[in-house]
Amino acid sequence: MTTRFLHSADWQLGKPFATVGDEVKRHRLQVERVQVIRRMAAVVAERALDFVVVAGDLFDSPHVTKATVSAACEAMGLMRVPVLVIPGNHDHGGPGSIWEQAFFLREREQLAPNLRVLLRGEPVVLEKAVVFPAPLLRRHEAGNPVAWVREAVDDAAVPGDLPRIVVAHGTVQGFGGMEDDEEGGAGVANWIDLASLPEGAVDYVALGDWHGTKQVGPVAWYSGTPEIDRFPKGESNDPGNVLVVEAGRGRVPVVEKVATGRFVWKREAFRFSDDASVELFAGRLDECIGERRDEHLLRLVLEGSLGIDAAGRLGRMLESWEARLARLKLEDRVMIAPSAEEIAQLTQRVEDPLIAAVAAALVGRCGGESEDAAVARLALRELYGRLS
Amino acid sequence: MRLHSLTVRNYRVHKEVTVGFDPSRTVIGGPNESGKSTLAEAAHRVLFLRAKTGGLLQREMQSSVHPGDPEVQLVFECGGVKWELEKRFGGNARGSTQLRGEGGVGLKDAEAETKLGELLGVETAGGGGAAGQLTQLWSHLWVWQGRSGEEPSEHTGPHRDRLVRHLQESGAGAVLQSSNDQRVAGLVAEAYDEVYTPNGKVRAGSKPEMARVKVEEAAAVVVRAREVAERLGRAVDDYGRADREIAEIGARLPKLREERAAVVVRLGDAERFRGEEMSLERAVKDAGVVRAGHEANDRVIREGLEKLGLLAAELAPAEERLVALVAAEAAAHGVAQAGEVAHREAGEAVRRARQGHDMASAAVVVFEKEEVLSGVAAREKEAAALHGQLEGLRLELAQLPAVAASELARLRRLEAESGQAVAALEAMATGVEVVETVEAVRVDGVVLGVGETRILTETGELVVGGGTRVRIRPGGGNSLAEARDRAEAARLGLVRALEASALRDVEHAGAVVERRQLLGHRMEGLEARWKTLGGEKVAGELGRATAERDAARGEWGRRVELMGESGGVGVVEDLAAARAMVEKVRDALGVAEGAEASALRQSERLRGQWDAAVAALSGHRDATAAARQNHRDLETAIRTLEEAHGEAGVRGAAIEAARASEGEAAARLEKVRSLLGGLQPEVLRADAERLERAIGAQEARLREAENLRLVAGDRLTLDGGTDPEAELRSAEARHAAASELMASEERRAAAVKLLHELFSSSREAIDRALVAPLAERIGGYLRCVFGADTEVRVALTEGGIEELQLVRAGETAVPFVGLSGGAREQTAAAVRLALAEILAADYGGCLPVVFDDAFAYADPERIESLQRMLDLAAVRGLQVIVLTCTPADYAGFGAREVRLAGR
Repeated sequence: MTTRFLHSADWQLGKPFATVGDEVKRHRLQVERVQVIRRMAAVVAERALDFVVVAGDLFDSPHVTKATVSAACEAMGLMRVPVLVIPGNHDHGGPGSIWEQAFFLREREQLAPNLRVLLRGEPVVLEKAVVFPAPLLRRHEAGNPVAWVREAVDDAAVPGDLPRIVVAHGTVQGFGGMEDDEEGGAGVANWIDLASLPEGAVDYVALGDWHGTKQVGPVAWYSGTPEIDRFPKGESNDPGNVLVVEAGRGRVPVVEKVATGRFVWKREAFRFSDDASVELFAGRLDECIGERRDEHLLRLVLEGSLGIDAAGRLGRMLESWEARLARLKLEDRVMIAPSAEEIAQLTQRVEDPLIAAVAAALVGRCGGESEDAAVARLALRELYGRLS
Repeated sequence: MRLHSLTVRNYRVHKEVTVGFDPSRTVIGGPNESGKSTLAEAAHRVLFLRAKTGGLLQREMQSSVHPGDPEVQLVFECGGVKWELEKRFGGNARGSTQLRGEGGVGLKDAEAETKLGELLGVETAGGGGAAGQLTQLWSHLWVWQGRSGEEPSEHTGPHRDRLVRHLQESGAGAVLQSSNDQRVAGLVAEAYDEVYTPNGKVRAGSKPEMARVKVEEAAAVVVRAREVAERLGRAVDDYGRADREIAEIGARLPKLREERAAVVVRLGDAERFRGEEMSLERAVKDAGVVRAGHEANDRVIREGLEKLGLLAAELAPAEERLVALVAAEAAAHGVAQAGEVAHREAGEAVRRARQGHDMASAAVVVFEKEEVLSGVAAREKEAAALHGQLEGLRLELAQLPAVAASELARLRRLEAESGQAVAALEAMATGVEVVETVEAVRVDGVVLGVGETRILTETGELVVGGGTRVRIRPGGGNSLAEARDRAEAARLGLVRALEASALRDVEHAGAVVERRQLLGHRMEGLEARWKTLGGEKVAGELGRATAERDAARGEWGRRVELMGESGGVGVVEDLAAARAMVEKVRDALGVAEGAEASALRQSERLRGQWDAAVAALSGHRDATAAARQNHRDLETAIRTLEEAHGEAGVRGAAIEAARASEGEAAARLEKVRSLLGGLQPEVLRADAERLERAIGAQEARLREAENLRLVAGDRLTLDGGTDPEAELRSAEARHAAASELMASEERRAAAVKLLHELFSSSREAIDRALVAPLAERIGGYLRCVFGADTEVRVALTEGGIEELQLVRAGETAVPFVGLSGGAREQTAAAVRLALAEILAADYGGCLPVVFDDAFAYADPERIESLQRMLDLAAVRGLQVIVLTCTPADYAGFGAREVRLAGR
């Protein structure tokens, strides 16, 4: 017998996106994490899938708000098929976790009766599959969460003809543990030892924690997060997908990657060689972002040096981009110092001896990386700005 | 520009005056009201006031004595050309201006005024606001009377721009900040003021301060959010820890409880054995008590019998001695009674002897008191006789007039005065004596016979016969009458004095005084004798002596009466006999008292012997009675014991039975104790306590853990309104953003501050370089006045030359306003000369400077040095014109001198 199901993980509903300053944009990012569930529901319906597994971190924390709980339950209720969820390190099932809160239990019952939270390491027999969940009951599990599966697969109560699916959350061979580089995290933990699973006894391992889509073994996959929530590291990172899996007992699973993400998170870096490169940079940005600017988030690192005027142009340009993009995270290392023409313009003012004297004094101080030099450069910009 | 000559006509006091100016130095002298200031004004107005100006300005120029419009003609040189300027100040209607350059075409009115303005480089004054404008025009060159000490900025402001231009031209690096400089500096200052207070502190409400406040607020939010999140974390930890502890205790507690139950069973056994042990201990003890009782009774009975035999042996000799002591006591009693009788008899003899002695002594006192009384009575009698004589003399004295010797002297003086007055009267009177007559002679109608004399003391009429009447006037004038009055007054004084003392005449008075003195002497003698006899006290003494005599008689009477009962001592005749009697009975009394003392001693000795016999008898009788009682008591006790415990054989059997019973109980006790020791009850009790304690502790820990889990579980049940972890991350992100903003604002504030400081310091440097030549010029003039070490500091501002300070050798800088009146005048003059010197470049290298009585406060010495300063100005090319009422003061100036005549 075969089964077809949707493998997803790391929804991290309720993520605050605290570093996004604009409240409206922050709200949009939060809402989109619920909207993607609706898009997944469409995939389930279109493909007539049997069930859904969420391999941990459905919520961003063990104490999300009621509003987040209600929105999540309502969206999952739309899937119409069983949704099997294990707690991950973000929403672990320890004492006081969201999974045992009365409000959650009530909302699940009323809005998502198809939702099943697996809080114990024991086989769950479905109509077309047996699921071996490895829930995290604390943020950091010391042992191998799937260790118990080795013996469980030999249990007589486990049907022999149904495909066996392990659901786990953690790190495998160095993957996973992808904490947010802006908001910090606990680093790598919850090591999953895939080798501990008896060879041939398991037909698919649905993994969560690594936010990009990644195959990490013959039958083991990270689905990645369905809606990207951070700036990706490295080219191989491939977030914003869900996996549609066809599994059968003793067969190699057929895995199809389906894109579900809306927001685009990008990294860019640019070094200014001269004042004219500001315009070059403008072209690069247009090219990089293209359409749907408000669905883009950009982490931008700028280096090099610019004259005061050019820096002013760059500033105005960045001001526009900051408003247009869903988020512009700027790491501005550009040294703004007057160009030779600007220095001449400031200091060689026969008609304005006072300004010239002040500018000459500032030019003398603005070299180097010290704070005093930075203040002097800023003072030069202030002075320059007041000339016109 | 240089003035050559000035002519005024019909101008105030002047009909027509012409003054020629020296090219460099001119002094115009003249007394007050000679029109010096008028000339300075005319020269100024011809240059700067348009001729057609009317109104008050025009009227005040008009002369009240010289008809016609005021006219002023000025010849001057400007730009290398000599100009003739002539103005008639006749208002709009008649006012006219003519300006003619040397070799050029003459200009009139408006053209002339325009040209003139060009030459002077100013807009000349005219029309409605002319009066206000006029005072400002070239006020730096015209030093009006009374305004020489004004601040330099008052008159340098309008020329600032040209001054700056020349200063910039004169100094290589000297520049002045531009308007753009000032604008930007102003913007920077505004930006600085927005951020900083005048003290350099960051201003409340400024951007950096607000950013800092926001950072603090954000930090506080982070702390709160972290506390909430940490509380949640702690609750999770608490819950897990409590859960684990509950499980551990749940495993440990049942085993402890089992151990405790086993110990409790063994403790029950031990307790039972312990009960038996105690019961047997009591049985052994009771058997021992019974045995000891039997043995003690037997011992007591046997010891009692032995003691009874001893008591009976001691009692017999005591009874014999008691009989002997009774006999001895009776004999001693009889002897003691005989001694007491003898003593009573001797005492009676003494009493009788003492009564006789007391009666004789009382008789002696009676006779002594009688003698005293008779002496006092005789003295009292003599004193009474003397007192009667005294009273008689006092009566006689009282009947005499109370005239003292002094009064007698006064009376005699009055009598003499009266005699003297009568004699004087008689000396003045006229005596009429009929020596021989035929006819009847009458004086004042009274016939005067022959040989009769009549003394007339006042005017009288003498008639002789029928036809002769003679008027006789004695004495002269009023003297006779005054003598008569004095004689009468003297007589009346004497008569009144005699009457006052009831005296007949002075002789009588003499007799009275004599008699009074005699009586006084006699009374003094009698009174002295009376007082010697006791005077008034003698009667009291007589009373007391009588009373004492009566008391002595009473005492004697009572003694006699007492003696009558037991026999008297005989009759006593007098004091000597009484005293002899006393001596006699005193001896008898001494003998009786000796006998009585001897009898007493004997009686007491016998009484003591009797008391000793009584005491010996009593003591022995009590001892014997006690011994008898002891014997009886012991006998009774032994009998009672034998009745209770039986005879000796019975008692021995009972003792043996008790000993057997005691041994049996002790053997049973030993067995029970052996069983109890095997159980170790102390160890069992310690185990029970230990286990109880351990179970209690575990139960308490269990309760605490359950409670902790309950509380932690309650904390973990969230309301779902917020996500503490999300809140913390948001708070941290906001704090980071606020910190970033604060850093940015602080850096910008630092940049603004740096800019502001650089603008300030650079501006000062520029200003110093610019004004240096001006300060040097002013200093050059002032060194002429104040000495070679004088320096000047000055600033050139929008208002002109300001912040002027004078620095003299070794002194601190003094601002212009801090200078004395004279120094202010001289300093202001130096500024004017320096300014004129610099500005002269625009007027062909020369400008006139007019001083109208401008050094009012200068002393003669300072005037001397002032001339040096004015001369320096002339040397430097200026035309100096001084108007003064004391031209002699400027003799050393070397100027052309023009003298105006007084009115």
